[in-house]
Amino acid sequence: MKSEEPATPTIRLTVNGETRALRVQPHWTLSRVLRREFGLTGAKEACGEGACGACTVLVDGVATPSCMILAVEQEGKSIVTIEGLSKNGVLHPLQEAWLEEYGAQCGFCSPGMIMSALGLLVKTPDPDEEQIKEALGGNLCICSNYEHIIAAVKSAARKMAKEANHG
Amino acid sequence: MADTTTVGKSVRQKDGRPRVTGQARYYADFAFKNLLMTRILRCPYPAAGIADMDVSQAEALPGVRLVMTHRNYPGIFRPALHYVGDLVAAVVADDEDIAEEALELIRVEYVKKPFVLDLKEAIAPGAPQAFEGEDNCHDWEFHAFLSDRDPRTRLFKTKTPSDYNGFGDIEKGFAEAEVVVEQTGFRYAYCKSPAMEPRGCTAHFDGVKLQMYTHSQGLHDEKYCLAQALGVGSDKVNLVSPFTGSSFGGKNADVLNPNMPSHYLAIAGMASLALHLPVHCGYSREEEMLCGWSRGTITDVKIGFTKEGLLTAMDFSHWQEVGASGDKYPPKNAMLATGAVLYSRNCEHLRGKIRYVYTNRFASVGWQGYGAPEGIFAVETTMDMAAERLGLDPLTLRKMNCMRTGDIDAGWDPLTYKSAYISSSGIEECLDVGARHLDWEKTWRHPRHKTGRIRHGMGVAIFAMGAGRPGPGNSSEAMVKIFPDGTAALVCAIADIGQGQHTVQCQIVAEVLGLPYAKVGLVCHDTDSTPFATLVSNSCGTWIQGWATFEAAMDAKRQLLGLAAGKLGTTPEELEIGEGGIRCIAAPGKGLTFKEAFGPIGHYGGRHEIIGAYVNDSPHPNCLRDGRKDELYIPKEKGAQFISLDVDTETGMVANVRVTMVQNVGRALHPKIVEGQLLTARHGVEHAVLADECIVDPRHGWLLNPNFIDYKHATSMDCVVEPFVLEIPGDRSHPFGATACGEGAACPTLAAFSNAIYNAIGVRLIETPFTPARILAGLGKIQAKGRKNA
Repeated sequence: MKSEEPATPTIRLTVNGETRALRVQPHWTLSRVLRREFGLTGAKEACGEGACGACTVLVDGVATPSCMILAVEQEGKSIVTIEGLSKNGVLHPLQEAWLEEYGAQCGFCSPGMIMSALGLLVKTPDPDEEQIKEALGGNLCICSNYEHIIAAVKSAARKMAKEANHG
Repeated sequence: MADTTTVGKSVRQKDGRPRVTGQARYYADFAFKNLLMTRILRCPYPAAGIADMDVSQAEALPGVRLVMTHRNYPGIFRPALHYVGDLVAAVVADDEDIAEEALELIRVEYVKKPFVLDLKEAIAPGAPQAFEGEDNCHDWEFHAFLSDRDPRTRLFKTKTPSDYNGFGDIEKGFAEAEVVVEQTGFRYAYCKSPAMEPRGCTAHFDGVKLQMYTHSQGLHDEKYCLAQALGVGSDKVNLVSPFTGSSFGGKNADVLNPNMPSHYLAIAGMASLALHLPVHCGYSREEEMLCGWSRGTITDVKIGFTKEGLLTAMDFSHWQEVGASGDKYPPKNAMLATGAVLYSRNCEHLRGKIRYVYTNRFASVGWQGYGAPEGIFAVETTMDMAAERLGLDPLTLRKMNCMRTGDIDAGWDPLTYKSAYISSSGIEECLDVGARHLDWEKTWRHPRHKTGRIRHGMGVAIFAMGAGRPGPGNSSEAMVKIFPDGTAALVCAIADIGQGQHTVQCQIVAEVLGLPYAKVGLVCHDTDSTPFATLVSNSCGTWIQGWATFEAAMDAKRQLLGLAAGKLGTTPEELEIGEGGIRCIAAPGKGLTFKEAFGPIGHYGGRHEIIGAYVNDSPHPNCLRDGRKDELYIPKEKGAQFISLDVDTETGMVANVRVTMVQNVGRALHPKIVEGQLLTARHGVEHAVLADECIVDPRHGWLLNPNFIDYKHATSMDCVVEPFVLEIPGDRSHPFGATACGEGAACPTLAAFSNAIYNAIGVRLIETPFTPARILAGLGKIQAKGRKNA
């Protein structure tokens, strides 16, 4: 019964370290493919036009709203979603800090916000407050929990620096 | 208050971990096989009738399963349409692309009708009627006059229907006043009730039961309405709502009211019942922007004082836009700002006339503050003007007149009391804390002393907000189970929309039982597995649900101690619960493990759990004075907010906004959560300077800012909020002395903001948002320009 589009190309996407071949329609966004084809529903779609940041993932290490890019264009790139952060149940320092500082109220913005924070810390391991605010400037938290979120990013940066030094 | 082990500690959020790992399932995250998708055809005119309609081509499109219109689903769709975005039809199809294609195949013949898009125009004589044959402007139907004040209790004994809310003799009050301050025409713009997660649901009728996955503020209430709207028994519907992506009151669904924006539930529910397949109906951001607006008021205020500054009389006149119908109750909360509550101490004469007004804009909803921010904006700005007239510091005037603990609350709730006692205040202390932090005494200067291009200003406003309505129709239930391994479970449907109720309620259980917080689990995700819990509105969760949880835990504890006492040969009073089991208070060596207390259990029997339960049919006896039902203590949210900012007198831009939010919460059950609630003060900043308002094209009613780009929400970069949580003990209305904390932060911001701008540049702004154009016009640098549809 489904009306098939003329072309549904098969692409290979690398998500959280695993590469998978799948057929996607050319107009499908990355957020749609992650949520509906991969079942990775951590990234939320709240605006569909890159204005809220809830669907943020890392694409080759850069925090990117996944609703704004097409899945077919992501071949050969490394995509990391919120589900790729914890390993065997051990939380990433950002996730730990989010719990410690009460970074999530309703939690709907948290996955995207955490990925934006990770995008910052990958480039800038020791950010100042203005750099944190700027990096999170594209992520809305309508619970208005920014003071807690900023505290969580600072705390995670300290913890990650400590771990790096010991490592 | 004795020392506590869990209450008062910032323990880990009970369901925090899935929120930060992406495992939390909001309604749209549940996957279903053969999920059908819905798209809605919406009206392109602000007022129209459907003359004819042809859906045959849409129905014939391969992949279309159901086309719903007023012909086959008259309870959801109607031939009379009242705003741009009103529902015309819905298509349920195999995927969203097919559904969208089918929408384009529906032919509708509309008859356009006259419309009105502006509150001021809607109340003017001869305005077009938003609903044909009905007046636009309606007086509040529960207006009542209070009289017969008991000299002993100060409570009013008589409440009679009237054409306004009031007490005393308003004419006499103003005749006797030595100073009268009056301001007409306050306007709070019509604003969007925001939420990160757009409205939506997935309904799955499995042949026996309809499983409804959705966000929720009150699972049982929504289920009850939904079952009635669908024409099935309550036993045939299970509402599932483990996580809700914020709501602030606006997403509360009422399917029985066809004007309220909860049509997704009826559409998906009906479609799934008809098709026996899972049906998704979720709104895009643009559709979300077409429903759920609020604020939108015009207010006139007149206040009388003695020459020393005692407030003796207040006249309050208020019009609230409700768009194309919607929630008509918020105007009652505007009264909180008046001599009814916030200034009840000295006010002997009060008249408050409140009205709701239809327009052909998007239907209104209840939302953070539920009408209180609008009333407070008008009253608290007028109080600032009064302070100047009386030659008093703005803090001094407020301290002389604001509500104190034990003052009278004349709340005009239609359901319940005539008047009651305010269980605790602390506003004066809140003013002191904020003033000390900002060094108000040294830094606050009258605007006449300000010079230069960039001028700094500081403003203040105080607030009182409801905290649940005691009395009939306001109750909550809880069950607490204790298991033989020394763990417990709270079974309770209270919704956690980000305000932390799941965590706080589990803290109460851990505290009462004497168990570690980590050993208290939570069953809360659906209506099938939980007893009724109150809708989380009016910031009532900690109070109304809190009592139910507390008493259910007490009940379970009594049962466990009774069981152990029988085995130990003691009385239950001689025993206490600890992590390892039950022990004698006087002889700590004597005791039982939980397992021993429960006795032998196996496949075929034994005591597997203890179940404590409680129905808090509010008010709880502790909220009554000497057990008298008509002498009631009601908790309030209350506090003070300060705003510090800079105004650029050349550009009219406001910068460096710093909000100091001080609130007395009695007892912070979870300090971090409470702090988080105070951070929502930022919402008011959005209305003040990010130019948040409903902008529709006056020619055809289309919303011009239906997205997060043109309708701006504050980001991490827009302002700083400094939360100050005050804990003044002694509030008897809660088992741990907590009073409400939630919506209050949103209430005083616009007044504090307007007062801060006045303090910077000597220009009094009484219409929101405080745009650069309005500021420059106030400074006389540009021509003032009327704005339509603000």
